Amino acid sequence: MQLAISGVHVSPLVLITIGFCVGILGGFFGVGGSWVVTPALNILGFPMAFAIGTDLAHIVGKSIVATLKHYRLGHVDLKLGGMMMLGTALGVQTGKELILYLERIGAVEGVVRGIYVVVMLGIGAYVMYDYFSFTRRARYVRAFFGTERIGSAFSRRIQNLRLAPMIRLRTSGIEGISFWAVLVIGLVTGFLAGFLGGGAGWVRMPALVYLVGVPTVTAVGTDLFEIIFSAGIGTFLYALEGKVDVVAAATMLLGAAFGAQIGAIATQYVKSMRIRLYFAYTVLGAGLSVILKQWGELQGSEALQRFSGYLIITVAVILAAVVALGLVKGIVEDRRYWGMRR
Amino acid sequence: MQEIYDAGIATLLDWMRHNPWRFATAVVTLMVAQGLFLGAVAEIAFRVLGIRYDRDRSRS
Repeated sequence: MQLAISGVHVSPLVLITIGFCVGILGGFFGVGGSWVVTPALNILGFPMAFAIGTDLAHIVGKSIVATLKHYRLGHVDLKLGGMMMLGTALGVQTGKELILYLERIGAVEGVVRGIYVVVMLGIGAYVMYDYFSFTRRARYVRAFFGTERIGSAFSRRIQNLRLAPMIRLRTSGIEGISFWAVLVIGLVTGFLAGFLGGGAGWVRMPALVYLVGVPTVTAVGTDLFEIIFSAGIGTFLYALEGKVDVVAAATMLLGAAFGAQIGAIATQYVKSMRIRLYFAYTVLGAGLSVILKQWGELQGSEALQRFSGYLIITVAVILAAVVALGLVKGIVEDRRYWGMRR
Repeated sequence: MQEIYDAGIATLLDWMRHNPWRFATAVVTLMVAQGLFLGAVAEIAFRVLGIRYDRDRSRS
């Protein structure tokens, strides 16, 4: 297929497959997946600006599909998402200003990539530590917590902060949290989104879980709700520069729409703590890929840079398959369970 | 079908070159419309396949 806008020649089947795999991850983790799609499109021959713009455009459609599904499942906290959006808008602008400053002094590439790796590995390592510390506990302790440890020491401290106005988040099961705390968390995650690029859903989802104290599935749904707007604004800005191949985005969305539904439904079947573990694997894989890319650039090795792209695509495909299998296994077990009760 | 597609692409290219705001608005609108449409199609497909998703999560 010859794409008239970007001038790239690519198989539609490849685009649909990429969209499908990333759609599963997006619906399951509540992320846009720009850290997978952008390098994948770049490998397929899209110039970097087109890869980012086209990726953002398909994320808009995919996030709508996934958010609607999560909303029906009761996983979207509109009040929390709306408030965080205020902070996000301010944070994105601040992050972009810092990027422009770093660009002026010629240090943008190294600093951004360095912070990207530190944040990714930090989040991945913390989520993994949280998962294993929970699963190592005795069975009776886990029974007390239920299937998921909601919140953390950080979120409890933040919820105890009595700074008016206090708000109640019914969907997230939070009785009281300061509006300012939510705004600041939105500001920080927005800053990282503006600074590191993309929608930064991989920062916001764990922030909602560990800083606000939202249950995992609600964090996933609420994050997707926010991504619709952040990716929408990003798409608009890239389209103004003519850097969106709408045909490629629409083709990817064909796969992503179904993948996002599978991912969203899978959150009903896969244990919440397991969702966090898979998320940690994905973020660590992406972090490793960025390290390899940076190393390849320092060594001047084109092969190593391409390998870093293939690595993250492989991680995405494997995890998408794991999520899809988790869904199939859950459906089979459910049918067996209901069959036995009849 | 091919003619409609070609005419659509030609219009988008024209907007991209001469009216970026219209192009950007069209791109975002197309993505939103396609997302809503495909979401509805997938929803019907899952119902036809009999996949329940309104289950009790406490069983997971």
